[in-house]
Amino acid sequence: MTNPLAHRSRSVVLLVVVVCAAAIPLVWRNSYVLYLGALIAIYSIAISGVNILTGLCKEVSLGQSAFFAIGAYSYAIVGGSLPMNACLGLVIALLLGGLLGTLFGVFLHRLSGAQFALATVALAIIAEQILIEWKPVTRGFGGISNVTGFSINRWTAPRELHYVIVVCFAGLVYYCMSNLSKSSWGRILIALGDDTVALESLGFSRRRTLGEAMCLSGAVTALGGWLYAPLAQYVSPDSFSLQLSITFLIASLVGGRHPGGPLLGAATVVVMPEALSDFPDSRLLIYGALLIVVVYFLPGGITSLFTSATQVLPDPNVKLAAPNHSPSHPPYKAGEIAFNDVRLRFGATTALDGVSGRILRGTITCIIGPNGAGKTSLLNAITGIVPIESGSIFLDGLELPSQPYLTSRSGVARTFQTPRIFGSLTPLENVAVAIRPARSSLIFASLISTVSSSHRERQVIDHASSLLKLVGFDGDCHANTSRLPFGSLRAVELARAIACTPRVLFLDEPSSGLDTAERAALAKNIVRVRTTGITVGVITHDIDLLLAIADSVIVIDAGSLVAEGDAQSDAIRRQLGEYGNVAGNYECSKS
Amino acid sequence: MILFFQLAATGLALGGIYAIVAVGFSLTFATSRTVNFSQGQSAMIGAVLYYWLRMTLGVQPVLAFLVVILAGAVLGLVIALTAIFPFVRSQSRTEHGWLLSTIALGIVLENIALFTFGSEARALPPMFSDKPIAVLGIGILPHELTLIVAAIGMAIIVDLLLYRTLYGKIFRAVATNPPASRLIGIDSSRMIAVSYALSTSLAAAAGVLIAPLVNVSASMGTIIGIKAFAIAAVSGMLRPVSIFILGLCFGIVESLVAGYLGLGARDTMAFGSLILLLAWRPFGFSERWQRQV
Repeated sequence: MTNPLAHRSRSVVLLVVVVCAAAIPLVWRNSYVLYLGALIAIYSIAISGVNILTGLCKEVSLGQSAFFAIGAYSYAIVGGSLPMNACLGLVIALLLGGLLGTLFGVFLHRLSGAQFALATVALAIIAEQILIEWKPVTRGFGGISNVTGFSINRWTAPRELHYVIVVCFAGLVYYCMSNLSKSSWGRILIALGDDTVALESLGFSRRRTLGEAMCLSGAVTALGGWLYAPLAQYVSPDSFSLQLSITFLIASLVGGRHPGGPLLGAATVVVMPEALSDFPDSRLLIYGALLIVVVYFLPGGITSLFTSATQVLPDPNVKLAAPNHSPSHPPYKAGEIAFNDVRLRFGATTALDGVSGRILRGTITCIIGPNGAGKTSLLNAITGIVPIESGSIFLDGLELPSQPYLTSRSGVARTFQTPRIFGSLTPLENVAVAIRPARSSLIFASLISTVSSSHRERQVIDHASSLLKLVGFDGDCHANTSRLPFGSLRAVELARAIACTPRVLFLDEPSSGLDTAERAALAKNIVRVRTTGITVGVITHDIDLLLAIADSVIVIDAGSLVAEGDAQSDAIRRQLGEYGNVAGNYECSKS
Repeated sequence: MILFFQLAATGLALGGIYAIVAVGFSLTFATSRTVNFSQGQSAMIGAVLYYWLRMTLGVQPVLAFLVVILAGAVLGLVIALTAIFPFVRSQSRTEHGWLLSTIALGIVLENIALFTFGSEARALPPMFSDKPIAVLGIGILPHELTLIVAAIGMAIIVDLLLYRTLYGKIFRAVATNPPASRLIGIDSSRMIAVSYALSTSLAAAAGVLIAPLVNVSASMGTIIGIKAFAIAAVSGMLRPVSIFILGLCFGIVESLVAGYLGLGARDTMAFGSLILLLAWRPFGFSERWQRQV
């Protein structure tokens, strides 16, 4: 949140809502309604955990019942006598849920889509089996039946108190989730869901990001389970089966990505079967129908009806700041890349056959060559996206690591042949993702939105908008990125790459797909980027662009280096002459 | 030792079933990069339909089996039309609309069975006699033998279809690059529909074959579908023959674990090793799932 005043007023509204909800038992003493209310609040907490994965990271999790079970059994085993046992149980639930989530995310970070869903199904089934088999602790199939509510000194609190506690926790979780969706960490999670390769090129590893996301998701869902046990007063393995995970998933999709979504989704899956309880066995049908309605007609969930697609950063007052290369910018340092005898093969095809060369400090170096010459392979090798077979690549004399996010952190940024933009984020947010704040306490600050974190957020946004200005982005910086013209996408991607404060910046075919005016602007932008002190490597076909900007040229053909040198040198001129004719003809025949 | 071989034989039969369903996954994956999460429920529908034809209408076994296979194909077309096509066109790297729509369809199918068939499990008499045949000192039900033979046959047929015929080449062309295959005149939608029809009728047939071993019930599908998908995923959506071999190994190991360590250990081991295998090789034993840059 960038506007402290709006933040405060929203917090007050939330507080009032929570107090009103908590006060319902004073007015309406109906134990059934109270039960349903508590169940909805508990489900909304658990579903908030699901939402981190389905809503932000766009991964389908069917293993959430495992985390919910961890919470519920923690309560059932440790007990709920206040303050000691309850607090201990809560801590155990959060720790175990977070730990299991972290382990799952870290070890299975390479999975996505159907495989990820499959692995989570496996998690749910294993959890259920463990609950059945680990009899000394979980009492096996029969479960633990004499779970009591919260109590102090043998005085068991009435249901009303449990309800109030649950509502307070639900309010807290809502507050954290709404902060999260607007924080820098929330942006990173959304970016992970949109395009992992692009996110890794900005210096964030999927392993760590997914591990963190699942840690939070697991802990939040475990919190829901911990509150569920005293409500149900009975925990058994079959309450935490795969079916529960499916229910949570459906509720999460019904509600949508907005932090309020889980509450709506929870209300739907709790109330609808109750309303239709005259028809036994109808629960499953209702869930199936709900899922169909959501998947076909309402892909963003109920909350997408009320919120615009770009609600994530809600401050329309951010204007593009004037370009400003003075002290507030981080100092850019030029770097130098040297690659030595790099070999790369895809099956029987040799993409790079022992290429050596340099990209000199502070220059614009163009890498040129016909289609299939190995230009992009060279770039992928340098940025660690494709592991090389042999050879070595150095940045300022130090060998570059072979992981994309590590090369990015070492100071090599890149753009892609077809722009890889995070479609769920606005142009401004796309750039803001790449600006790394201090990572320590990032998650915690994202959840509670401290004064210093909103101040830092303000700085990040200012910096992002100045970078957009630098690359000549002239569109709406809060627009839906999917509706931007191609040229603007390239500009956003360029600004995003600069936001990593690289020492060397690579552009992959930056002029393809651009019209004449956009090309001229691009050439000017690239030159402007160099003046900030970043070394630029440009992979291109475009002789005109090369002639306009290049200080130095590397010519590659069939996986080997043909010529290398100053753009004005005879050797290069000769090469360009040959290639230039071909390229020139190509351009003519196209236009 | 007798117990060991007895268990292994049962496992071989079960593994064959999983393998047939898993081959179905690889078929749809080959044409559309999608898998049908209601595949297990399709198998259940096959079993329920067969039970109804046999026990209520008294249809001849072979005829009933053919009807089930046909019905499976029709169901596959319906699945492709309703749950896959709306999403496969607008598919971007990260959207799994098809995943959710097939899960939804699975829930609906299970419900239909629940309402028409009821929630209790019913035993289906085997196709042939239920007297075990003695093979090398162990008793094998004739049904289990049929099962293994049928499974081997189906795997070989599908493998030949994919790798030895023009049709199979077209299948794989659609998988590699749908727009390009459209340009050279392949109707990729039709290929996707065909793959779904084939895959679902395989699942339905598997349902019929497994029914005498596990009883027919509305909820029998889920675990079959999950295990078969696990096999397909671990094999990396590879050639049907390798999926088949993996399926048999899985069936044997599972049966041995269940026999010596108990039923609870069976699923824990199966899914635990699935998670470990996926952590080790996320794309299974092939690189076909590798993300492109």
